[in-house]
Amino acid sequence: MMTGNVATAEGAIAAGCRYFFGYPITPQNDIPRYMSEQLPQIGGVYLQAESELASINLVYGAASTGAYVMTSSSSPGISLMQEGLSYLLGAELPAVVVNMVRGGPGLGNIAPAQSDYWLSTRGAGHGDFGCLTFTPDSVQELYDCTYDAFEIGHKYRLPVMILGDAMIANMSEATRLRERREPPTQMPEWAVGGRRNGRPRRVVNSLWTDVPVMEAVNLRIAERFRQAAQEQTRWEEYGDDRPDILFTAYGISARICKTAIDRLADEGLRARLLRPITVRPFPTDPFARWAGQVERIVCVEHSMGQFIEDVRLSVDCRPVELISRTGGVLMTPEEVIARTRELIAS
Amino acid sequence: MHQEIILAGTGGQGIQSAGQVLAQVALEQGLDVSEVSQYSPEVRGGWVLSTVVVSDRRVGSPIVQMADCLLLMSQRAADDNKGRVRPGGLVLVNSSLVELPPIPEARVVAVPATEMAVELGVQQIANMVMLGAYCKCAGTLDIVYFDQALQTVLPERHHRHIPLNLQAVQAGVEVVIASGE
Repeated sequence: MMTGNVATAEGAIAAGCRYFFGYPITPQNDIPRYMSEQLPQIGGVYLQAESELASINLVYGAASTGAYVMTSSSSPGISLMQEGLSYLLGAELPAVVVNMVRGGPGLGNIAPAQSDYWLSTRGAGHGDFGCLTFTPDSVQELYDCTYDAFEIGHKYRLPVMILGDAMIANMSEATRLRERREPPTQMPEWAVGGRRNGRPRRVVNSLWTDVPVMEAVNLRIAERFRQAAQEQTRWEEYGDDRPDILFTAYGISARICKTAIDRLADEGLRARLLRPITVRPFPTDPFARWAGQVERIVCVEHSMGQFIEDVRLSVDCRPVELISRTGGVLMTPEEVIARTRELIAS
Repeated sequence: MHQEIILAGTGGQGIQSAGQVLAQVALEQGLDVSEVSQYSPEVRGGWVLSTVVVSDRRVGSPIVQMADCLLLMSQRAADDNKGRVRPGGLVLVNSSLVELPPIPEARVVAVPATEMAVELGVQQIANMVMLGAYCKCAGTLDIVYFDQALQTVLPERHHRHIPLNLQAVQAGVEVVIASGE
């Protein structure tokens, strides 16, 4: 048994991450707490920065050496990291950034929310593209996604966001751990770290004043993103094989939907859940497949209607209905069931 | 089998520990489990809640609004949470500290947990007395798994206290038997 926060941190260490930079914020403080305890014992570096800006720029520096690097924060802290994230993207540097989302906007509160969907999938700074984004729904999956995120980030040279929330960060569940892996010894061909054996100079940079060069950089990042979409898109399906209702939700909302679907099945209502495990890249194919086979599509999210936009873009213009709460209020399965019944009755 | 449990008390009563031990017992028994702890920001005397969902299937929602079983350790916990039990549910009350609230449609069991813990030597194990009583009343979890669960959950420096904790669990079972509940 461990909390989602600890599983995330241990997943990173098991993957070979030995560099963590962060600044405290609830509800993710158990990640830096665990890292500060573990990393110095295994030859790693834990550094509490003076701010989130410093954290993300320390990540930028360490990532440019080709190391496995991580930072974690929660919503207001991730807002502050936007500039650094954009620079990571522009310099084609991989790093893992964890966001345990809390109620917002502003300083908001420390309760679970999903209101940073746009921030992760549209935002993550200025410029022409974003991070790869995982949306785990259990402690085990937080561990597994974080474990995989480093290798995937390095393969496509993209920052990877783990998008959680205050609930999955702090709940405890059984977690199967893998053996801790040593950090990679081979330096990537783009990494800096002192010129060796007279090899040509390497530069990590995101400033391209020569316009065609900037376009070429963007095109090659886009190509790597397209490859990642082909190879790394993940989702889970749960429930009835011949559903009348297709629910879609990610993270904690998906867990609530699973219980709601089980109880609706007891009442004779056939429902299925389509749960993206990556939201960038978005699993458009299974949405397109199910869209024509169900009577209604219901999106359940803990934000005012952010995730629903990607769902609507994936279901061939079929109507999608929204069940949501916001500001840190969590729905119970009973509320999802009652509001589903209202939708059916209307 | 699916059971949702709320443990509620005051800072220092071992509510989070009890929630974790209970969850680990369920896990040792081969069940799936999800546990969530919450607490108010006060340094001392704030409220503490641990919610545990135990199931023989994969646990879906970890969110517990209304529970099948309430464990109320302090008066404030009882005042704030006495309404959070489903009809026909079970309420265990630490009667050493809590005036028994009238809860219609629920089976209310009084356990003088703090007094029993003091008799055993230390009041901090009142939480284990309550867990023992819970296991006996609910009948879903077997107390044989507490030894292993305590070894997993407690840091090694506290392992010398495990026998006392097991005594407390046993005392909780016996008080329920003696009360004829």
